[in-house]
Amino acid sequence: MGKVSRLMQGNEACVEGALAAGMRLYAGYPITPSTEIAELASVRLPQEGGKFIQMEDEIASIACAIGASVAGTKAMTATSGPGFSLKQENLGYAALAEIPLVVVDVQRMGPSTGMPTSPSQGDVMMARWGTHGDHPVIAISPSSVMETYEQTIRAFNLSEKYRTPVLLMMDELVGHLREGVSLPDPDDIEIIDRPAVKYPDPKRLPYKMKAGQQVPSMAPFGNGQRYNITGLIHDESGFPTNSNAIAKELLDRIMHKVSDNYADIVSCESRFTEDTETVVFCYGGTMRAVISAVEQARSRGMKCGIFRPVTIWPFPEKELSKLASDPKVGRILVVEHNYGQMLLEVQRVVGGHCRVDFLGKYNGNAITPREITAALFEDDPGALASCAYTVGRDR
Amino acid sequence: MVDKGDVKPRTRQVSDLIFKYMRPEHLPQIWCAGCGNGIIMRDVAQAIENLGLSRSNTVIVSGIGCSSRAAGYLDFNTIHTTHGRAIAFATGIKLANPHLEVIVIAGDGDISAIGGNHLIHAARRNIGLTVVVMNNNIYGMTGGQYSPTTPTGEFGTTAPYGNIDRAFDIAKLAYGAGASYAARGSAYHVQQTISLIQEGIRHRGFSIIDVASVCPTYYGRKNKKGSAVDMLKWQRDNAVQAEKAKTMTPEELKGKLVLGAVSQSLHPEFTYEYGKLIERLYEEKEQREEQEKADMARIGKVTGQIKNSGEAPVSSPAGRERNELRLAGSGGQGIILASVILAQAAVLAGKYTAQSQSYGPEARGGQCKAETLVSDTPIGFTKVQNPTFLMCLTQESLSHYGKSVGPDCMVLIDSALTPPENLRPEQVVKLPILETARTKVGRLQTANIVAVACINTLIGLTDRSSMEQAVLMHIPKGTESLNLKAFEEGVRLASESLGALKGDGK
Repeated sequence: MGKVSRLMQGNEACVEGALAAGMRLYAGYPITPSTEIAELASVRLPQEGGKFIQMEDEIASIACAIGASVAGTKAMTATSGPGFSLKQENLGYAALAEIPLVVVDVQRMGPSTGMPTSPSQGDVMMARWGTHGDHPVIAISPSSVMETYEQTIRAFNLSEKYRTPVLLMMDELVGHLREGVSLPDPDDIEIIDRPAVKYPDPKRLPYKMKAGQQVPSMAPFGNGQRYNITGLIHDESGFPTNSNAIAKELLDRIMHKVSDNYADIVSCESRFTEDTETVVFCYGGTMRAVISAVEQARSRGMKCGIFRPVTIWPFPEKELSKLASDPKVGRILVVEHNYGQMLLEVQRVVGGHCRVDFLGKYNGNAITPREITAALFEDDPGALASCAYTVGRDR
Repeated sequence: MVDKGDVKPRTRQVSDLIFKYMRPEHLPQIWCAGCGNGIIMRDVAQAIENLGLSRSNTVIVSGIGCSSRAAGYLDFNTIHTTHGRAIAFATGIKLANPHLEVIVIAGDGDISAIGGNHLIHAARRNIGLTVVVMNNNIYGMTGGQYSPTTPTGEFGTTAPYGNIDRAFDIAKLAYGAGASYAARGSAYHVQQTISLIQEGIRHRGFSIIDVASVCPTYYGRKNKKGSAVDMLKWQRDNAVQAEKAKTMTPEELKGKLVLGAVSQSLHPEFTYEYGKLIERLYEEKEQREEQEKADMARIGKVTGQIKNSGEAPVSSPAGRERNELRLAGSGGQGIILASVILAQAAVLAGKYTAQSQSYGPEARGGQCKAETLVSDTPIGFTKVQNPTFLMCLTQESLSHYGKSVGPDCMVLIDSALTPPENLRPEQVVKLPILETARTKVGRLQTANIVAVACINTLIGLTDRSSMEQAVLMHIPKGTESLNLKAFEEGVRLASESLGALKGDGK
């Protein structure tokens, strides 16, 4: 009971997940292939007592969402590559001012206007490093419609818990995919709210933490605790400071609140890794082709498995490092819809432990299982004509 | 204190305002000696005092630049945002909590250059924010570059030969964009500016008060305007009230500072209107939910009736474990909807499905392709690799997709089409889908439903009841009987063809 089987599009699952998580404001600007998120939010939010607003541009959309969050409302904005580029400055603002927020990027092929309806995973490094300055990042990349629903909820929960923007890095493959989903009973969904200020007091230092806290409690504007929020480096009072010691302390804290909670934040999936000699590394919608390819390869006798970060940032280095140091594993094949972005992370983490090969596709088409098996077996170079395949060094 | 006698004073001592509305621990402020911003900040505090606003219920939002520092000095809920974006942040705050009084304090570069887009759209939207512009005609924080309000011919560090640009009149710009309250004050005209800010805050809708500040350090020095006092005196001597300005010629108004309300009108306020929408939907909620339930019950009943009508489900060729269906045609034929209906039916029948389509310019009138995968086991790759079934409703799509199918793929085409030579005659099923929709059902638009029924009958993707239910879930209300007729015709069409294939047809 409590389960409803229904056909749902990935973008739709994002909206329903957000609503289930408590989103009550969406600010956005139309952009393919994320537009369905805005459209559905405009239908659903007022039905639930929430608000939708179509802002004048992408920058205004994230700014509006941050403003709503400051006023105590869970907020989201969604976009695609060009819009994600535009949102970067305010993303850094939310990271430094510690404003909970969910930003969705349904990735499409770039650079620039690129191929607006074509799948890509070309924004994953922008997700990590796009805004200026050092900042913490939590980014999640779902691989199915159901996972989009679940991970959107988790994105809200993490953003509230750690008071930091969380990026949901979808791709066109999942955003525009329709699948059957079984939604959980609303009572069974875990909802996390930001650490609240119980007794509002204007004298309270807004960024001062109670013992054991890594994240300061947050009062919504209007609850009686008057305080200041700024994108300048600030002290516990929320006011700007030029103290170099406080600057370091603040940056250390916002970085550590994510890195120290690695186990809570990082999530990844391994398949067939108990006997594996070759690991296919992938994330997001690419996973689907990888599943088909690995199943075929295994039926042909290859001992291969899959390693998939669900949380792409922080990068699941502990798990990958453990896998790479398994003496049985001799080769990791990184498969992604770009010119080789997460490849760099895999190479960094794996070090010289095993060979790291790369299969990338950036012509606007989805990577097919045939291309992946061709790379796995290295027996059908013709099949790789529309991909980039590079072989790493042997250990 | 000045609070004595019968006459309630319009202004309090500055020291009173400081202790009541400012954060003394963050004063003195960083503005230069003679800067007009301090006067304007005080005007804002005085207006708030005169209106009796609650500090806890008031929000001050600023952007970046000299003006933005005001947020830190004022003891309210304050947020110092990014350059140009104060109005966009404020929009989110106001929308999330319309009970808050949200006041934006911005500079001329902040609000009319980098933030110009937000200004005009907030004005158009008529959201209940009050914007106070500290307009000093220059970028002060960065050291005196010309701004959108620097008059033509004047100097800045980036206009060393005199400014070629023309200047914005911010109040008129906002008025042009639909601001329901736009006014101009000045640092010199304190009493009037306080009144204008008060009116702006009280105004239901977007309000903007463009206040002429003075920047003796950069604008004044670069343009030989004299001391701060000289600049304030200039404001005094060149001010013209808006009422009087109406009677003056453009020549007479040249170089004058027009003060007062430029526009004042009443229009629906955005958050109020949105609140009404929420109320309306809330009132309709029960009705909506009942309607949804009734719709589902009706769908169930209709399909149930057909299922129980004694008509045996049409037998199909042995069901495959995995079906990969590709539907193609031209935009407007309902190809994507047909594909979605097939996927919906698969979900209803408890099967795994993945549905996607090609988007892009070709989806608007040109070629259109949609794919539905249906499987008894979880689906990995979500795109069609080796179609088990292809349907084409146009010759163009048939030529395009027909050539790449394998010998085991069933190809359903409209009777009017000619199959490409690579297809075996046995794998091609020709049915008059479009003709049936046009003549037997009576509407060409139902061709996709005829097609869905044909497909399901030919390959037995799901039971008939699931498919009919899926059809009813996705068609516009009021077209049920028409579409069920289309479905019926489709079933008949494909059954006759199956019968013919099996050799027991007429």
